[in-house]
Amino acid sequence: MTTTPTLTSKHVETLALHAGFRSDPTTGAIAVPIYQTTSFDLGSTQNAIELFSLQKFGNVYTRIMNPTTDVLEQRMSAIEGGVMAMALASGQAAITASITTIAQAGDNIVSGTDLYGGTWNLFAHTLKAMGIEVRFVDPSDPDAFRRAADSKTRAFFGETLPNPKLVPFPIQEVALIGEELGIPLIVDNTAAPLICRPFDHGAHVVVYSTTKYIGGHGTSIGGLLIDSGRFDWEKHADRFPTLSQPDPSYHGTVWIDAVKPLGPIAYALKARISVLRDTGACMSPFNAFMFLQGLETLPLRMREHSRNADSIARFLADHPSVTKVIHPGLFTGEDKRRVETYLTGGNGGLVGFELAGGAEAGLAFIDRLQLLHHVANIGDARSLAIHPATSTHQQLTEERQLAAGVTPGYVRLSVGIEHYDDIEADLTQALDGLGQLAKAA
Amino acid sequence: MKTIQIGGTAVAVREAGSGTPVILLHCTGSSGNQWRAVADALLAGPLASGPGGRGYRLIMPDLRGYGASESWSGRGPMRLADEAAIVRALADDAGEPVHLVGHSYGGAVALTAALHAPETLLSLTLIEPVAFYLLRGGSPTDGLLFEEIAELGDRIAAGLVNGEYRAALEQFVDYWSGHGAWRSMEPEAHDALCRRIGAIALNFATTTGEKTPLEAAARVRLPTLLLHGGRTRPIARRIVERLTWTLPNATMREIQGAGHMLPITHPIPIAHAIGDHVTGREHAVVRFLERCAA
Repeated sequence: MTTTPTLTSKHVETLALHAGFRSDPTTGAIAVPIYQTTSFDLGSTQNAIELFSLQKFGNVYTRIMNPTTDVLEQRMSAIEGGVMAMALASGQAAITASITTIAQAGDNIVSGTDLYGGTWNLFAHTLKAMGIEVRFVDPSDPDAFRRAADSKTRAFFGETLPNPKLVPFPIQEVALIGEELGIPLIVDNTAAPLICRPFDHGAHVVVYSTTKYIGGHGTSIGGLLIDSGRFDWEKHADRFPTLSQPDPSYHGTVWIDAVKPLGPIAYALKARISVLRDTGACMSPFNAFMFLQGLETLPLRMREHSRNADSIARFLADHPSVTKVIHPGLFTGEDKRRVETYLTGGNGGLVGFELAGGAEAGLAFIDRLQLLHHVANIGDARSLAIHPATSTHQQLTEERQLAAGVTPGYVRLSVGIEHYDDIEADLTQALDGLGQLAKAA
Repeated sequence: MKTIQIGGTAVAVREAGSGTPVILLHCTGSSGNQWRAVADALLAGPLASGPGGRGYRLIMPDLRGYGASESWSGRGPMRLADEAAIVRALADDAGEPVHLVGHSYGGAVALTAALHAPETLLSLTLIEPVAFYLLRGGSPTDGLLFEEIAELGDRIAAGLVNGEYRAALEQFVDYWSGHGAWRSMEPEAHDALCRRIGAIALNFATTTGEKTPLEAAARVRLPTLLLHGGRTRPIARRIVERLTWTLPNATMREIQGAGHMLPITHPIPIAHAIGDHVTGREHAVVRFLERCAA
């Protein structure tokens, strides 16, 4: 494959279409081919020796790398401004790999409390069972990360645009604390691709559920891990034995030494050659192709998601059945400052609101929707809605629900890219119907 | 803050950190103090340490007529090369090649320094360099952009001559920072700019009057990073584009959401961009992409 001639351009609209692939050298195809194969011909034994000893990169087995997936990885790394990306089977797999690459039993990480429920479960239960403690702190107080850290802390973690609160994570502040203490900041940018640029603010690793906006069409499950290459693992070698000590699973390789001829990719390479190899949570080449299709229009879609959601938020704020609207465009004070600092490319597609009629109204509203889908997902090109108290957060106590920002009458919208008038019309008829129900009662 | 004599005028220089020298040149109407937040961010993270444990020394002069530096001596028409002599003198003083960063007017000066004394430089970071003269000979749109900025320069020069400083400077500030920006400033900031109007008018004259053609930039083989804000003026974006296409070793990068005053409004993204370029991480990214595609 040949590289694009526009590598000097960092415009995301161009990178989304061109980075990492120009055309297939055999057929001339400009769409990225799907290499639906498990294995690759190793050629000579000498070639195999060089590949397995990392003297050169090349395709060996699709669990570790695949040419279709490789284009997605290169393209997202270029868009994000990282040095290396790795695709995985899901966002949850990406988060798990991002942590287990540097944390082992007996270690801990410090995470903000505002998290996707699946991530909360991973942190509070599964990682705990593996011996990795997750210390949860309030992200509205960045210094809490410093107070919770100790000599066994291997990472800070946060979501850039967590729902339902939708207050951006204080990336600059926590990254700075991390630089001082020698702890990398991993951020989940799933809800804010392109509109938030975590590496611009000092984040060291970015993870994604590509299932959401990057795919954009609700067809495939996937995840990504992107290494900024900025964290100085060697300077803090004592804190990161998985990178600075001989790795018994790979001929005693010391990753921070092994990558010196290649570039600042110790973390990304360990994640791929060791963690992905062993846990096997790789992305299928077919799904990588689907994400490449989604990625091509991501800049256009994010603009449209943001534009429609801004308007829907204003519409809801004026509606008599709605008691509160949660949207970055409506924040004031410190929350507004964070939005202006971090959401530089738009406010995203998520809108939350509370209905005066509580849980009963929330359920009735969902049932009355005709255009919006009732789905436990975000980031689809279609508009989606859900009533978290009776679905995604049902297993939590009411107290935990409230702590997470989920009130009985709370509804979450993932605003899509349909014509704005049609989205507003569906919300109008569903909300107006609530008024009629109340009168009938 | 130390002072050195360069070309008959005293130039004040502030410094932070120690190690490989990085010179940062400020914009029109400002001073070396404009880099305070960027410098803090650089030394806290991106340039906190360097190869072999050696750090970085940030050198931030006040250009002529600003801060604690003396005004132009008046011994002839001031040219960008006269300002670029400051870079040469600071590099000589450091005793080793330097990384050079310039914003706006400082960017135009930095480009000139790279043309005149590339052997003194390790890398070049140009943040919206206002090398307006590069638009001459461009497209009809380039011509209109050049006329627009030349007219602004004329209005500032007229304000200087007839004493209507504030009206002229309001146009200058609002041109770069948006309508109403002047009115939102503190009275002390108005007074400070009024005291500098002579230097501001002179900067416009040098950046519109320079005769060096765009093609000359093709000689600058230094690794160059060109930065622009996503919400900046068309003229600033256009100069960055033309330089990106002309400089043989240039990379362009956008700071999302930023306007022309990006080192002041977006110091942390700017610090990371500078840090990536100075440390070579930016280069490592491209090289790695090429390696993967090979």
